[in-house]
Amino acid sequence: MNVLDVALRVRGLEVNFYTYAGVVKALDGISFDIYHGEIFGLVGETGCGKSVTVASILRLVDKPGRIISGEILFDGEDLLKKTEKEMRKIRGGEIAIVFQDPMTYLNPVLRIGEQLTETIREHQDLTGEALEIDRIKRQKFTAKKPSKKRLEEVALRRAEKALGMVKMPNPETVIDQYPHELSGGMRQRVMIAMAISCNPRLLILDEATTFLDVTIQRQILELIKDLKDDLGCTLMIITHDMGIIAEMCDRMAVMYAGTIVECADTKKIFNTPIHPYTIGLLNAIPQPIGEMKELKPLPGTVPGLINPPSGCRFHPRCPDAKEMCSEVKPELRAVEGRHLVACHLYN
Amino acid sequence: MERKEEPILRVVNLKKHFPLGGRFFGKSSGSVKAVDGVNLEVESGQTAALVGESGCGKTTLGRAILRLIDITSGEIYFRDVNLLNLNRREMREMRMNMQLVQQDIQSALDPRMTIKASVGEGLVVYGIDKGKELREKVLSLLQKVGLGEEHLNRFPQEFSGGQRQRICISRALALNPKFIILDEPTASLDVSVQAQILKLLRDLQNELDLTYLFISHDLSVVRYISDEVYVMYLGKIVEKTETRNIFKRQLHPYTRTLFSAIPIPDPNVKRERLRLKGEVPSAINPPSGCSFHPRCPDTKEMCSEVEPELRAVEGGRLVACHLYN
Amino acid sequence: MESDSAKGLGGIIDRHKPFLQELRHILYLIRRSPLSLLGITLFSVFLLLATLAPYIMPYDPFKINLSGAFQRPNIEHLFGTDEMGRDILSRILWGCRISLQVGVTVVLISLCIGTILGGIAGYVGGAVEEIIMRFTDLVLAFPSLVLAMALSAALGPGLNNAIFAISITWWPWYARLIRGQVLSIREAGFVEAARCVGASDFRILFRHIIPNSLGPIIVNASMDFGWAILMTSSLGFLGIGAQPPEPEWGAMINAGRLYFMDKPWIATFPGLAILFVVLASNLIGDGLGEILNPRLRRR
Repeated sequence: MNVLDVALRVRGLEVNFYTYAGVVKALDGISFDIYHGEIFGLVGETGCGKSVTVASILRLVDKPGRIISGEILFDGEDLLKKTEKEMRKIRGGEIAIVFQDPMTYLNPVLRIGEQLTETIREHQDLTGEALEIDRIKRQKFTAKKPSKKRLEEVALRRAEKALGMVKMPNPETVIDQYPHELSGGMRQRVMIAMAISCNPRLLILDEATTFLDVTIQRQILELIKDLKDDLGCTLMIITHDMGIIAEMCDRMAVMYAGTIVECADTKKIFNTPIHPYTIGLLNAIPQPIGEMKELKPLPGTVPGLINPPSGCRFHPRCPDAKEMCSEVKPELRAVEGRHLVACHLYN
Repeated sequence: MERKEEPILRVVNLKKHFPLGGRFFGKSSGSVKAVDGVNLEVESGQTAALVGESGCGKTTLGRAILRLIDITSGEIYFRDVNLLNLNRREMREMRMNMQLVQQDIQSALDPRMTIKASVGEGLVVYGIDKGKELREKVLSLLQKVGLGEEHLNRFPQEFSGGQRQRICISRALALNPKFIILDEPTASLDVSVQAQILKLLRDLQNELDLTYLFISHDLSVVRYISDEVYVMYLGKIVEKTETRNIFKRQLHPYTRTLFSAIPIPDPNVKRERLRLKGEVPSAINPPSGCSFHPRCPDTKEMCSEVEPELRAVEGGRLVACHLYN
Repeated sequence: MESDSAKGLGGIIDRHKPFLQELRHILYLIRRSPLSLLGITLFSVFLLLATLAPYIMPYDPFKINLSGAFQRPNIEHLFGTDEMGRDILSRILWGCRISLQVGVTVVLISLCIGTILGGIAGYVGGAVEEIIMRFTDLVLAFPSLVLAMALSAALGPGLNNAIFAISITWWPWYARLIRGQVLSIREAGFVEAARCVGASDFRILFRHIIPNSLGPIIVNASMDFGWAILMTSSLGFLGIGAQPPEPEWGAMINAGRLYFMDKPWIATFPGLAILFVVLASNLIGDGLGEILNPRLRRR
């Protein structure tokens, strides 16, 4: 696996939301690359646009939002040019996503098994296996179409296999249970099982562990690391928790108010952060180990995106802002090697 | 902070069990032992942290201390006054001393009341101020938390999460309390906003000589704000120690696993991970003996039979674990 | 130290800025919903007619003129005349006042009763709640029209008795709705916070919980306005409720019933009036439902 191959390439993605109060410029032309087989982290605070980015990749941006321009190349193909039918095949199939709150994404009146098989039947071709079983069981070699029951059986088996892969205790029992009978951690395992059941090439985790207890989160993070190695897929982790990024991600991008301000290897960003926002963010994180530094909060608040600050969106809060910063938007440029920063201090 | 003689808050063997089963027929098929015999002390001017995961009972404990819910048994001493002996009117008087900052910022402020009305409600209820004095008082409270006059007549929906939490804090300060319970006050806030709020809380504590009980599941945050830490598991305190000690070395196996589970925001650090088995058990049928034993990496035979008591060990630390008896 | 902006007109506008923004937002939403716009327009027309009725009605609605009875709609009598020679247009206009007054009164009375009972039931809980809600169920078990008829008959004929009777049959709906709202709002953070600052149960219920419960109720109330008018008309049609010579629309239909085959205008115009008022009220109710639906709102 050539890690230098690009799995996902986003260029100039611009997304606006047209509300009664005005136009929300949610994404201001962002660009980043995710390489095959790596774990890529997207970190930022409320309103930075990480969820909109994910929605754009999956083409789930709905009214009043609209993708204005840009391209999203998934293994060379522009997702923004695909038809809805094509996207439906991709979602859940080649690109899978695990969301934050399993309770809202699991149907409370369907059993776990049914919800898993729904995804599986949608994206996988089960006829081969089903026909095989039909022939063995009915001993008819002329069957052309497998019976519905058989398809269901095959799907269920694959569902159980997926649950096994996420180390769910007692998968046979869980298949028949309803979401409310499971704990938060188990529900999230179900979501992950759903996501990996169709062998995605890109797995996106959108704040997937935010609602979980620390010890359960630890289990899930370990699980995800193991799964990624087993499946050989590319991972994109979206979170606000810098600890998760530091532990899990090979490369990361820092987002602020709809722009990407810094993008590089994780170690580089933590050891030598360049953008003033990244520095400020790292100074504001409470450290659980090591020496206790004084927390230095960033002054001010995240700007509203209806009338975002001109030029560099961070300039009102930046301790090193120059005159140029309020006039010209800084481009995301390489400072050294693959360390990219969008800041006039480094042009 | 100088240590005074008696702790400002003393909780003795507090129990809160929620009965299950129909109310009408009086038959209860067991109960949820949310808080099951907790002893707690907070020194005046200090911050004690109450740490644990969901379902451990910390939120219930906080509500019980403030007498927002009834307790099953136990005693709560605030400045040596047993709160359970007070009648309704006396308790109402006592409430001025003990306030709460809640976790859910979204619903903490009445969406139909202006900020001025919300923050000043306590003053109105107790008849302390009205009219112009009320306005002045509320304004000064808002200014203490970094807000201004332009915010007085606005509604909660117009503010960001961080601002709303500041408003809640100023509301808690309105009655000049000595003691404030902070229930996960920064849980839903961004990192940079969290840092601002934590700094604000520390400044206020120094300025007004406040005592905090800080409930949280986030150990990194606890490290910055608290002097002592109580670790709670399934309704019981399993360890208590000074904050600086607990981050260096944890005694109880649960505390150790908890600490080992935190993601470290430093990619250069490689840590030994203690794998924790299983899920948090239900509080309806807690495991026998030590309630942590099914998941404990160091469990012995005794642990499933005898419940360990919270005992003092080296350096004023308390642990409830057979490994230290 | 008060800044200058707090005083004067600027200060007044500043203080009410959130309210004005709300208004602008609501107007925006109304504009986007043509149906509610229609409803509001229609209703405003009726409101206007009701207010100006004494000044714009061409004839005295009670004046009998037997020689001029049964006239088809013509230049002098735009809606024709009824069996007593009274101008129907004037009677419709006067009936408009009656109907609108009835609608408002019924809704207000039942809203008050329902809110208080439902609020107490939801907040106090326990035995009190059980008693109130079972009583509510009892009243709801009767078909409302039948119950209203029975009460009206017991109280005797007349519009005021009809209003009272209908209000009595109406409050249970509100009680149920309010109780449901109270049950959920009771757990909200600001209720707990109010308790922390020593607020009494009374204050919490009437200052915090009920104002926040009224949202969905307003939608129902505006639609019920139309229903109340319909009920009154039904009672009037049945001869209970408003009595002749009151130009209540239902009673007018009842009177015109006998002549419907060859002199349809006597019953038709009051019927149309009822139709449009109820339609207007329903459209407004739907529109309000959309407006007050938090999911459709943006901050």
